Amino acid sequence: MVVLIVAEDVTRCYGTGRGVESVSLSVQAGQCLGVLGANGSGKTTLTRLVAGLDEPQRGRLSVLDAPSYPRPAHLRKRCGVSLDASAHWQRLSGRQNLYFFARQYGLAEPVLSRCTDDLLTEADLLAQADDPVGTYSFGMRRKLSIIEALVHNPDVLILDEPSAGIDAAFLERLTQCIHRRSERGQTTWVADNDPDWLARTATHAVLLEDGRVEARGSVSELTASIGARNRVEITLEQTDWDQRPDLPGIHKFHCKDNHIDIVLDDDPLLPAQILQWIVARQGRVRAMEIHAVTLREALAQRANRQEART
Amino acid sequence: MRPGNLFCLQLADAFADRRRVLLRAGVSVLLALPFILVGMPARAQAAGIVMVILFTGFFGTAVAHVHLREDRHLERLSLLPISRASLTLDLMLASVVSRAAPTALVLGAFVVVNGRQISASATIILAGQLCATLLLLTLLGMGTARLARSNAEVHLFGALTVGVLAVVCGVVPTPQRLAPLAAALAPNPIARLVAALVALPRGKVGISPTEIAFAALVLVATMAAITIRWIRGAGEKTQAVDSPEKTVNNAAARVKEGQG
Repeated sequence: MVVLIVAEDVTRCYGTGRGVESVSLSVQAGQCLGVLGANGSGKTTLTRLVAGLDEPQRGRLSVLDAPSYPRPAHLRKRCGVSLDASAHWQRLSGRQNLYFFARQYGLAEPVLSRCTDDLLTEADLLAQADDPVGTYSFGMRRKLSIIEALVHNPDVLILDEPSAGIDAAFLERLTQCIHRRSERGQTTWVADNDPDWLARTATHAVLLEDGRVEARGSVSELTASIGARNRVEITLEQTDWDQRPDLPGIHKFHCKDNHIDIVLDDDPLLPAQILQWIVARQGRVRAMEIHAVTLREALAQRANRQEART
Repeated sequence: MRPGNLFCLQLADAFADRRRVLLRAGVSVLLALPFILVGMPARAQAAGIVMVILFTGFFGTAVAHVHLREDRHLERLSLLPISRASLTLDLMLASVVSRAAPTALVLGAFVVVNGRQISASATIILAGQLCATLLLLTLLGMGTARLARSNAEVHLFGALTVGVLAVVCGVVPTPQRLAPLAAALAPNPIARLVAALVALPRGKVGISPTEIAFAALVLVATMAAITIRWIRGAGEKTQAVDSPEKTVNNAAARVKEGQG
């Protein structure tokens, strides 16, 4: 498997103490890596390093088999970057801005015109394509910035906070686009704060905390590795049940009338064991519902646990 | 227009808002008007006109470049597959062209009102000196913008630099202590422009072969660079192409097809 982004012990700190420290990770061709973390956890710093805007103070960071900084022009041509702040020429139209970026990546007529119009259509910006960007809303500018990064179909696409201010329809199209990129063997790096969208979009994810990688893996591995807890709801025939299953992995047990609510570890065998345990004690189960925890819920649970500890 | 390179993009942006362009040119002309119309010593007239050119050329460039950095345009441009030299050249040429419009208007008005039977050679010298002055001011402006950390700082640096330039280039009387420095810097285009403007009302613009050759060289080289960048970057007028419902994937496939 071709590895397109490799970070080994990468450190970049700012005077304020913020930044990233000793980050090691790799992204293979065809993967979409979602970078998650609270505000100030180092997502943008790491994204800027991968984009080639800043140089690591320590460690090795390579993108497309070459050091990330300074990145030669022929490798910059294979990357598409949309940063957290959109930089456009406000007095010029969206079409003119997009046309400029497309031309810099070597696109030529007639492909260029068709391609820019298709992308403007995808972003629902065709009707406003000839209006000055200064008249665009925040979300429209973000969408323009994203299609500017996509216009040359880059091998490595780097997006910082793409979901911020974007409508659901475009976000869904972006998800599909990223999936198709992965099928074609292209790599996508997405730093974002929306775990639900990242869970649908990314093939892999890393969780940053205070500039360090706290957890990594596929989205389900990441959810499990941050100590996510599922919820099981059981409805019984009888209304006088008050026994708590004596099994490891159960964190909360609440029983009222014929309804039992259990919070338990993300262990696929545990619900079956609980069911077995209840049935063995003459419990008559009418219904059982397992609520698998989402990445967003897992992160919220983790934040709550940390808050409780402090 | 469709801007195909940074030079055309910057020019399209600079001239997109006609009201802004007219206001800028109007302010320069208004500031220069007393020195053009009111009778005063030739030295004072020349100093006034060159100070307006210094402010328009240098200040305008420095402030515009800080805006480019603060609006994160420079950062965005650094991600494109364009060499740093090409980026700098395009920014410089676009800045020269957009500052040339108001300054040429000021200088033109001054020549029309005060120039007595100005010869073709003297016109070339004046145009060449103005062009060289704008190139120098643009370079200094871009350098100052790099040093300044914010928009407020660039105004402070700008005021200081214009003051220093005015003194060392002989726009205002040079103090005795700085005379050797001013003498050493005498061949610079700002000092030459001052000298030409002082001589203009008397109809005695110094026409030496070296001066004509230098002015012509600067003019031709700058015009050639501007023309080449314009031809390479200017596309046809923007117009919508029929856009069927295509997916991003289709667009990407077309891109690949185009690159192939």
